[in-house]
Amino acid sequence: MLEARGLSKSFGRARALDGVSVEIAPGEVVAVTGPSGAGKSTLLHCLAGVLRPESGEVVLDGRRIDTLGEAELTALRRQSFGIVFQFGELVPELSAVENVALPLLFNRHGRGEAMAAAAEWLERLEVADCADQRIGELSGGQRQRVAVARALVTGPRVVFADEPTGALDTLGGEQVMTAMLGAARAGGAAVVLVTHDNRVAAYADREITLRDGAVLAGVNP
Amino acid sequence: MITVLRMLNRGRSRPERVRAWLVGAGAGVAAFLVCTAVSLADFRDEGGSLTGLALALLALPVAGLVHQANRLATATRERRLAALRLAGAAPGDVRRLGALEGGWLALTGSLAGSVVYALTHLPGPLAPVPFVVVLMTAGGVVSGARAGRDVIASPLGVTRRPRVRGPRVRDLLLALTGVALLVAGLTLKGGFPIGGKYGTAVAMAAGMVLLLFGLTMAATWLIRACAARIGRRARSPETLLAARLVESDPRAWARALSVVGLTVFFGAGSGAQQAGTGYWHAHALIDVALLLAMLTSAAALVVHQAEELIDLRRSFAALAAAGVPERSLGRVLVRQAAIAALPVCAVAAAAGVGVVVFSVLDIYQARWLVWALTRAVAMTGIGVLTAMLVALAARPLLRGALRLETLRAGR
Ligand SMILES: Nc1ncnc2c1ncn2[C@@H]1O[C@H](COP(=O)(O)OP(=O)(O)O)[C@@H](O)[C@H]1O
Ligand SMILES: [Mg+2]
Repeated sequence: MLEARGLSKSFGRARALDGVSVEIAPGEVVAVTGPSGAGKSTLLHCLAGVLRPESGEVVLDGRRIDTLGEAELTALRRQSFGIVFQFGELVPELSAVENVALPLLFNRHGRGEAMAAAAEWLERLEVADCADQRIGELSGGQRQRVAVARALVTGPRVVFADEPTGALDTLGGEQVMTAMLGAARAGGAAVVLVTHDNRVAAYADREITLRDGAVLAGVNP
Repeated sequence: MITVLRMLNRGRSRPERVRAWLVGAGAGVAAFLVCTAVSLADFRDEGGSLTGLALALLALPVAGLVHQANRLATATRERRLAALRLAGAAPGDVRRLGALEGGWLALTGSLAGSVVYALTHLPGPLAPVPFVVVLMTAGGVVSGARAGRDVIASPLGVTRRPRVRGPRVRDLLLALTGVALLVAGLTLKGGFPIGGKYGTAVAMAAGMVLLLFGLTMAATWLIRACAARIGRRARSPETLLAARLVESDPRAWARALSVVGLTVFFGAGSGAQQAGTGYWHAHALIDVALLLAMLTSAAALVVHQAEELIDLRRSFAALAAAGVPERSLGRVLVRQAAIAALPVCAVAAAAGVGVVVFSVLDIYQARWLVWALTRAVAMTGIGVLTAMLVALAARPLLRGALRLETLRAGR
């Protein structure tokens, strides 16, 4: 469904990606692992249409997306992808439920409908009690679950998560992982999960290991 | 300490130079205004005293602008401040640096302003000049030292304190005291109990200053209440975001809009006065002064807008990565300005008309109100439009803030 062929990307002289090819099937959970600086985040951003690779191509359902115009690419990210960052990056001035409703509102759903759907997602991720609280009042684990709800609320084809448990303790990380994967499976979304933690990678169906911007062969179980 | 200051200033970026220039220029303008005000306010000529009072009032928001620009200092050179802390500088050192720089810029700026005053008022009194320069420099030192309070420069980077600055009861008391003094002056006329011949004039002037100061501060309440209301009803995500952002930091908006509010207040007041009299030439002059004041207010808004973007960039960069178009985020900035400026300008215009009409209620004719109200509505529109135009002009800055690198910086 989502496929990258021969992706390369450099920043100045640093070569972050060097001919990486990956393929992600519908509903599949893929972990991208490797040491810090290996190019994991860069790969994720290229797949998610946030960064444009210098060479190679990214194809979603047979359509090349890395050459789309800015407006089309933005709309595609909004409608087909969800993204979770290490620190959640929610809007601190909004309540939890408003944060989750935001993507729906930007897709021009009505306010009532968006808020109801957001509340439902918060419930599914077991943070319904926090719905009306500001982000600053939530714990790290609660924040990440709200961020997961925000990424999943539009019913995306793929969810991209960059070190989603990187700022959490072990127990909190496990809870966020089970909640995220459960919700993604229920919605039929594939998950691309960047992590350098083997315990987190163990949740995935398949693991891709990067080193110095290239895929390390022979680790796919 | 001086060496460290030099180190900090070496290779200054363009925003830093602009900011330093803004602090200096603001101090210069404020010094000029205060010197002129002091020379005019000799209490012999009522017209001159009133003009002097108006100038002194204008100096307040200009000083506010200087302080805001000082606050930006820490934000525009995060990296080097963090490096300094890594190299062993204590938080106190960072504050002392701010004080030193703020004082230095205020000193040079107010000296330049005084020179302009001395040249343009050759026969005027020069006695107030040294006082004003010392006062401005001291103000610069205090402002520079306090500017860093909202920012924590740790060795790992510079973060802003969470923005939970709500309105305070104190502000409302200021405004009420001002109203009380004004009303006392108006009703007692010549028979004011203290201060002899000038008692009434002084009391009313003080009342006016307190009222305007208090109103500016009380604007915090107004802005917050309006934003909360709009946020509850917002249908579009742009309006929802804009309203919630304003609601969470109404103090900053009240401060940034203080000059706009004052200008609208004076503009509406002078309109109400024009209606009854025929001195069109004198009024044209006042209108030119108002235009200049509006430009100052635009400068204050630009500084605020820059600060706002620094605060918002992480949230906005994440939203952009999640597929929110840059156009929508630009719209959030403009709507924020409209949501904050509309109540301030509307209340300021109504207050301007109210003060004039109330003080000459016995002779004011109902048909003059048509012109007075037209002017008031026009001033409100100009004020809101200024705020929105500044937000619109910030869009190129927004593009820079949305780059993905913003999110790579970590916390
Ligand atoms: N915006 C950028 N500017 C400069 N260098 C970058 C940027 N993004 C990534 N890099 C560099 O590319 C390499 C890969 O980075 P990244 O994809 O973030 O690695 P990982 O996520 O595996 O830690 C690193 O050497 C990093 O310094
Ligand atoms: Mg990374």
